[in-house]
Amino acid sequence: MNLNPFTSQLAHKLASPRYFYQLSTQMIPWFLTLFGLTFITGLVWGLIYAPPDYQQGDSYRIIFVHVPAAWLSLFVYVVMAFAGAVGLIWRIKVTDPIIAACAPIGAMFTAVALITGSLWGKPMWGTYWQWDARLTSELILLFLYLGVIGLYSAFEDRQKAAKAAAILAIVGVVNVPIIHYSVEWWNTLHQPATITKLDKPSMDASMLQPLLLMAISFKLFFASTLLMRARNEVLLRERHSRWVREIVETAN
Amino acid sequence: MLSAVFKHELQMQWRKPARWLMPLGFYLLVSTLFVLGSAPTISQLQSLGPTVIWVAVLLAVLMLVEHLFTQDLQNGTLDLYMTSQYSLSLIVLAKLLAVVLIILIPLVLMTPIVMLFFSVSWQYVPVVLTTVILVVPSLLFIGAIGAALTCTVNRGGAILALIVLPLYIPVLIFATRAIQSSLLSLSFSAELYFLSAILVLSISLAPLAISAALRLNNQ
Repeated sequence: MNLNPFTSQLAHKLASPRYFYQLSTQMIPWFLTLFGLTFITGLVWGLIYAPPDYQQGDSYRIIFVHVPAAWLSLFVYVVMAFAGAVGLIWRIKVTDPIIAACAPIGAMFTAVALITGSLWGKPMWGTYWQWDARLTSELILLFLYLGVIGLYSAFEDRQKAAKAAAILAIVGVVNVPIIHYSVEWWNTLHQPATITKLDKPSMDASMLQPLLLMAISFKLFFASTLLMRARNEVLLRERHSRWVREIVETAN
Repeated sequence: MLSAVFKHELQMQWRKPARWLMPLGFYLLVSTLFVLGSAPTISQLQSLGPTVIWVAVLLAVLMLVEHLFTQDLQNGTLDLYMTSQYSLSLIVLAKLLAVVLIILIPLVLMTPIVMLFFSVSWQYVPVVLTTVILVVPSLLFIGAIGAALTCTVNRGGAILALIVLPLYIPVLIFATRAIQSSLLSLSFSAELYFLSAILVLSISLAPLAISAALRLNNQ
């Protein structure tokens, strides 16, 4: 691979666990501060200042949590598969902690999207669970995450575990669109539209702006938790090396 | 070499018939349990039939797949495969095609009997068998990814089910859909096209993932 000196130097640096640790330690406070600011602003804006919906009243406000979580649930899976592919292709060790960190975070966002969705479904659809195509694919996504977590934890050797999880994540990413469309197909033929899914009218800017702010805030939250988890994983993996011992000693 | 692998696998499976007979027995048993667990009116059985047949086939294939690579890994066959001049993916392809042959023929023979359980008329045999022929190879190839990933894991069966069953969902949907459409005398060619597409995808791509997983587990 032909990289110019600067990029190749950066790539080498990034591939070193120690540099990753230092970089993430510097970045985490920034991400957390930005997350806190955007989260509080977005929440207050969305829950108090945004106007109520003309059909759904105030109960639509759950989208300020639900939609960012649902977006992230898929995004995190793609990040995980991408990190897995990078790790497998260039044999970089530093992507392993990222894969390990992505799976539980992504599963959490998927669960949040499912729970908030069903809470919203009770007043709107009259039921907590509906075999709606989107809900079903979200549930299957949760199963895919559980599979990755299960496979990762089944291996004693962390490096093997991360590689196996990477392969599974890549297979999963190929399957996600197939699963999504098959479920949509199943739903449209299986169920006549007894419950008309609320047509998404183009959203008013007064609702869209806080929603986008919340989406950014959730992304920042993801970035900070990802770095925190990955940093711990790096420390754990490198616990026998000298720089980790130095950090632990100075911390005490 | 590739035909040798194919023949070797056929011989190995043939000499240990319990490996593929047990999943077949399981298939019959699960179908029977569904019938016994539901009210046996003919219309109910008919609507239940396609679903049960497919869930049972899915579980049977999962059972067959579980120990697909354990022996190769333990007795060193895999080491020989990995040092051979052929790519591991091609060898895996040859091996899996042999397993497909071993399991597909009895499944094709048994499925009409299971259809009898659910009083699905004989005229639907061709449709059901077409789906069986299109789907079982996909199931086997996708399941083999899971088997290759979990072949060194202690009691990998539960994890295998957890990682493979979600990947089976599209196949399950299209296969049951095809049979149900034909029972309602609707067109089912779209479903068959989808199943064929999944078949092509899984036969061509799964061996790559399988060989990567086997290399990982044989370090």
